[in-house]
Amino acid sequence: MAAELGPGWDVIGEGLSGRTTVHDDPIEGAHKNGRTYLTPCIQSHAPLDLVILMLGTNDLKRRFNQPASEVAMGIGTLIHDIRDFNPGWPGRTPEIFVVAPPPMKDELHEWNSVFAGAPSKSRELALEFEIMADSLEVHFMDAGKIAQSDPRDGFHLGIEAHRAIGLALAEVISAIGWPPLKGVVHA
Amino acid sequence: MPDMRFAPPAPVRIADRASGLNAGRVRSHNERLILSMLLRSGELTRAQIGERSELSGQTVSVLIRSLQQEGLLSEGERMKSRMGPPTVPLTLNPEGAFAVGVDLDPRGASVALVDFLGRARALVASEPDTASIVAAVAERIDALSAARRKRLAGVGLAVPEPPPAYVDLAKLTQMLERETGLDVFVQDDITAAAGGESLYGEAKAHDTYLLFHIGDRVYSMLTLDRQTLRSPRRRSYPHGLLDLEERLQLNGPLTVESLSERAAGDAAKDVVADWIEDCVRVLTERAKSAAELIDFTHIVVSATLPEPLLERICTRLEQDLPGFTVAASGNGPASKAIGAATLPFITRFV
Repeated sequence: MAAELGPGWDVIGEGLSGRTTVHDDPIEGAHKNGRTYLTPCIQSHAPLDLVILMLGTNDLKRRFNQPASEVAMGIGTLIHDIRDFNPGWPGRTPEIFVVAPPPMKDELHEWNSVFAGAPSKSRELALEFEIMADSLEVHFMDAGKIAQSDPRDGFHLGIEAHRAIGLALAEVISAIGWPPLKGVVHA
Repeated sequence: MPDMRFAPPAPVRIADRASGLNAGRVRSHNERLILSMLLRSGELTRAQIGERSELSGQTVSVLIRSLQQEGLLSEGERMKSRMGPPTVPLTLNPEGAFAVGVDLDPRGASVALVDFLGRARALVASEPDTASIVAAVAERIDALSAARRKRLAGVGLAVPEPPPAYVDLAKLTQMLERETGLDVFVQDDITAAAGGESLYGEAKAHDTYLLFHIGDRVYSMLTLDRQTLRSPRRRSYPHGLLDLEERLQLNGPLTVESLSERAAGDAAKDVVADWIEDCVRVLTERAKSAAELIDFTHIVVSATLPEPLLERICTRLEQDLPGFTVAASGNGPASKAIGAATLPFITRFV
């Protein structure tokens, strides 16, 4: 994505395996909670032009017992937090971009029990995220239309999928009418 | 009072998207703004839409997504940019909406099926009586595929003043509504023609212009800052088609075809040339008197005339009016029927 966008952009990757939207993970740890991490994260990188949120799959773990609509509410909470802390340039709120992750495969191998019931819910995420994105007026993309989960574990993204999603994001990002300066966090 | 930020979102835009057009929902001002901009410009990138509308990137993004899902927009050809990823311009989807326009010209009715880009997909003359007109409209609609029928925005009627004797307007409206299940929009015919010209025709790029329509008589209509100025009482001027028919000693009303043949004959040449001079004199006078009050430089002329004749009138008029541009209607001889079909589009989309 950074290569495609060109040198005018500073793209900051902030990915974490197992990150949820708003939950402390009782097994993997409280640090997996996207909400508690997001605030210091965006403040340390401020000022930002754009915040991209691509989360949700980990919220579907059996231990959290969440329907897709509730995961979208988690995303909505993060959007409100970003707006409250407003890490944009003076006088400007950063643009916010919600990306729905590609649906999970039905076969998750050793992860089947952790994600029991999750694959069907994962197919509802895109619609629920889009409804949330529309109602809060933020950008949205369904990455499920661009790439698929890697069949090797059924829910992570392979190199090709990363590449395809990066290129698609770059295209949408550059279509936003931007004033001169830029910088991005990818959470 | 609970914190409404954490109430579940209202799925306004998506839930009613199942198929076809969103009839129930009131279209927002900003959605109309984007559609209008695309109608005028043909093709715009998201960035251009944001710049010109002064809406935020996120608002534009949400609105465009919703219009796309409704099937009103399509993506143009991907353009390589000098630096960064390619951009994809947006256009209106010609198949996004359809409308039927009925021109109740005193000289005979015609029915047009028009797509979202203002192109007449079909244009037929109808027998001049209420039942035949309803049948002609129903036939146009039946000829559409089921998917396209769902995208019909309505039926528009362009009605002269006074309405023609061959039709009972109240009955026609009622029958059309019942037969088609669509909303029927009624407008005076010259205003409708001006609307069609502003949206799809020669006046697309002009906010202020004068429209002449050469029908049985000559009519004029001024559009000022994109508002068509309708006067409560219609004015008309001599040297329209009735006059031409009289001079040519025709028994019935002339058609575009019959006139093409007649005007080509040597005997009629002088008669037609004289009529053009008289007609252009009337147009020149009207244009000059309007120009005394309002600053405009563009004139559009529509008429049910063969194209070469209308072109001659435009050329002559431009000679007599230095400083003005004169163009023949972009909607052709069907300008009133296409204008009628734009009534549902104007009401619902722009």
